[in-house]
Amino acid sequence: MNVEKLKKIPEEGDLFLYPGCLSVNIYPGIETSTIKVLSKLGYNVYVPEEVLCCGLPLFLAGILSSNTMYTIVGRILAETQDRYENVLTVCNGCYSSINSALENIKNNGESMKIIESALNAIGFTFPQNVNCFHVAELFYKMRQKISELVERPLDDLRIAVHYGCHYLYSHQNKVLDSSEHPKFLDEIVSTLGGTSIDYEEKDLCCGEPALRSIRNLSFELARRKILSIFEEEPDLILVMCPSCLRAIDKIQFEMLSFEEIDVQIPVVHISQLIGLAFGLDPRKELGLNLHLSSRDLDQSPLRKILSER
Amino acid sequence: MGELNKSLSLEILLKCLQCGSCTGSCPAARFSQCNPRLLAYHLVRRKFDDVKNDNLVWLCLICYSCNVRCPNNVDIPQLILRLRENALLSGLKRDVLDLYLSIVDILMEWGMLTPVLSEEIEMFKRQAGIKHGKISDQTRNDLKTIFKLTSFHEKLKMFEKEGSLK
Repeated sequence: MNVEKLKKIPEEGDLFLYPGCLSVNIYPGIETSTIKVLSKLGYNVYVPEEVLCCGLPLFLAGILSSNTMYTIVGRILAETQDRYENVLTVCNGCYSSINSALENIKNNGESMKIIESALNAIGFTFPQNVNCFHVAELFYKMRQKISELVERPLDDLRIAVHYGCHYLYSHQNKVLDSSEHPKFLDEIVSTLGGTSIDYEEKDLCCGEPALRSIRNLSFELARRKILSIFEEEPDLILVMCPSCLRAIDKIQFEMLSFEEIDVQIPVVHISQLIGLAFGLDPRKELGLNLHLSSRDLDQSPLRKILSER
Repeated sequence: MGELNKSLSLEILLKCLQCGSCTGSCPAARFSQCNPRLLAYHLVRRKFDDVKNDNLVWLCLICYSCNVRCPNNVDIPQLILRLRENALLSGLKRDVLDLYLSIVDILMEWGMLTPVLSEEIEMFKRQAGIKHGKISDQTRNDLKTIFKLTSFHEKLKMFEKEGSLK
């Protein structure tokens, strides 16, 4: 366990929530559930009105330089205006780019000069004392309080957990427990009353970060992942990143249309899972019906816990 | 490619053991011709044309698995990113370039890389009180200034001149 990091995660107070692109325009239920869950945990959550992409997908394609991406991140973080020390992301990609930008402050003199002068030109400065955590890390720290707030226990739900490469490998030394054998999401699942099941391809990438011009590679990776998950017949698939969610959500729809599978297993983000356990409305508050894999909630394995209310 | 590849190859020459841990842990290698060890091998042997012309550079997921498992800390993801940038500036992979430049257009309009795609999502956002829509002109101008001052503008111009830097 990364005790030093765990210690730094705030247990109360003000949070700056950066939602990122996909959790605003594709899976907005991730943003709403994150805000509701954090509020129930007693935090004051500030969400910037405008959401600017961190630029990571363009950087990974070789379009944006690191300096351009870090400056965009600086523009995003500048909205903390010295009032917010702790920035939370719901996405492994944003987590990776923001943490890289924060590390760059310490490491690279020449690069920081360019970034600072670009930010100054638009009236901002790069905030120096900001921490960036993934919301799943905070949930892990708060698991005791979370367990006290459970109103709809996930009893009997068997859950396949997927962590995601950009969290585990892009900043290995920042991973909450272990990049090779992470356990903290599985532990949150137990806290909520569910059972995390093991599956062969638990470590396999979801395929989403492949260049968008080679969709067949994304397809093959996600397909292998799904086939492995389906062997264990879980009720739910849990992710901590909207990008992984999209890959694992969409592939099932495609496989269904090829008649390779005949049912879909709902894929949910960790904030939505905790929202479910807190008894929030699966449609209006968690937006689960916006996922391809759980459009028809009453027919999905989630009905096990939903019908009891 | 000259100067760039000189420095890249030096890094590889000094550190890569050709042990293959990278390819062994590469998720893309299981489903495609992606092969980070072979890429490093080509660079060591200065076979730049092999690197430019095959798909090794483009199949990578930049998932950092190789980086975590490399016993000698060779930063393959960074290597791939520099090769990608260089190839795009050289006018190679026009399809990738065009696709991602169209995404830059969405970024300039929305501030995000994806627009709202359905009425259902629009309605959910409205009912939940999520206000984030397209960015303001002010923020758009901020982005333009950032692009200008971090040399992205120059790069865009170079992208436009197809193949002129070869």
